[in-house]
Amino acid sequence: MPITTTWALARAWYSDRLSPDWRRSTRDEISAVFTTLGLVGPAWSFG
Amino acid sequence: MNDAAVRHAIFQHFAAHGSAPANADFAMRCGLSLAELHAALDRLDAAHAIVLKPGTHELWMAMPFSAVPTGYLVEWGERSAYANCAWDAFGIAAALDTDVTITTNDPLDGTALVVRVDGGRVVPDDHVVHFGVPAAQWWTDIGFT
Repeated sequence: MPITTTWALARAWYSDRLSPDWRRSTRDEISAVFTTLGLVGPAWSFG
Repeated sequence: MNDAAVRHAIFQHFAAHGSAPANADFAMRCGLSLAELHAALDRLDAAHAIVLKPGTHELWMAMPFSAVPTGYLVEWGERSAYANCAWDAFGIAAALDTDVTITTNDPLDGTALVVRVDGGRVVPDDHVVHFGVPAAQWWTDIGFT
């Protein structure tokens, strides 16, 4: 994965981690993030 | 203090100190007995909000932070912390919304690598990151992942 995509994934995944209101994302929400970043295929599927 | 507040306090501690809180002091600051803190940590671990060292109530991971030294050192300002992996090293920058310097080694040949997040951009930006475990299996063995 290009390092710039890793950075984008980190921002999508972790930007709210210090919020008191943080909650774990659902699989659908996670899948939507993957798709937005072009991370598709078996490695990125919860199948 | 409820579990969400305990979780938040753990992450605030990592952000402020770069390391995990000591359970005895942390329980007192949370207004909990040590047994109550341990129960909260067990629930947070089961919910994958944190990871405890197996068979203990010691923090192992509060993703993206690592409570133990790893091959990913992240520095910001006068502070530093260890990340669990390359993704989490950038995760610390994202969680703190700050520029960082990441020091690690090339997994192929051991060469020292320094990557920065500078003004929201990755420098240099021509590296690649290897994800070795499919997403569906990340929690099968989170330590390996």
